Amino acid sequence: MSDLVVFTDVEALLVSWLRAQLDGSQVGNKVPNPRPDPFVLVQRHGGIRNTVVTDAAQVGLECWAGHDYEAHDLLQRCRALLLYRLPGQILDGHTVYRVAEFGGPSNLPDPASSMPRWVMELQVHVRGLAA
Amino acid sequence: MARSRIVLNSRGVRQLLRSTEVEADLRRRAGQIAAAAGPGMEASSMAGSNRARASVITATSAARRAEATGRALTRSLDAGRV
Repeated sequence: MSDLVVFTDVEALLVSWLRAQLDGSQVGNKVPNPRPDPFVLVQRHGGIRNTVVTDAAQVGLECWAGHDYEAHDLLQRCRALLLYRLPGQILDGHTVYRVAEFGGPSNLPDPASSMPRWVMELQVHVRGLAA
Repeated sequence: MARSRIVLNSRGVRQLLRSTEVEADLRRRAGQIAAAAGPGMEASSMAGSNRARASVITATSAARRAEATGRALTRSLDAGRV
């Protein structure tokens, strides 16, 4: 048996999962040009190994929409899905154990476009696989 | 098997959490986060009524822009872990 544990690309895992959950909203780990409206950006901002087999990724969510309340509601929808639906799921062979809030929702308009944007940080605990 | 009972000395815990050593450690970690985040990030610390605390803020408009566009400070939190 291998003594290596390889952790998965949490960004890619979450982008695929959120895309399937959100009808009509574009989800990605890069902002396309032009940016779709609405749009959800999922990026890993850090986070370290939590146990021998678990990665605790710090993940940032950024939600853009045409109106402030739409961006807010989209972020809250993502927040609810990630906190209440994701834990316990096995995605591409990787078990998601726990999702915790790291930094709550924050109104941070996009400085480049002045468009409404709401952001938050989560910690996602995902099991790695033996190499 | 005998069970042990642990009683925390609240006053002692408070003294520990407010100690200069704990504040210095928090300030060191905040400084590392500020350094990793880039120019214009400012670290500070203080002993609160129950515990010491430290913070890092975006002290210049360039630093605020770096956080708003590239999440420079948010991405640097891991620098405070060691």
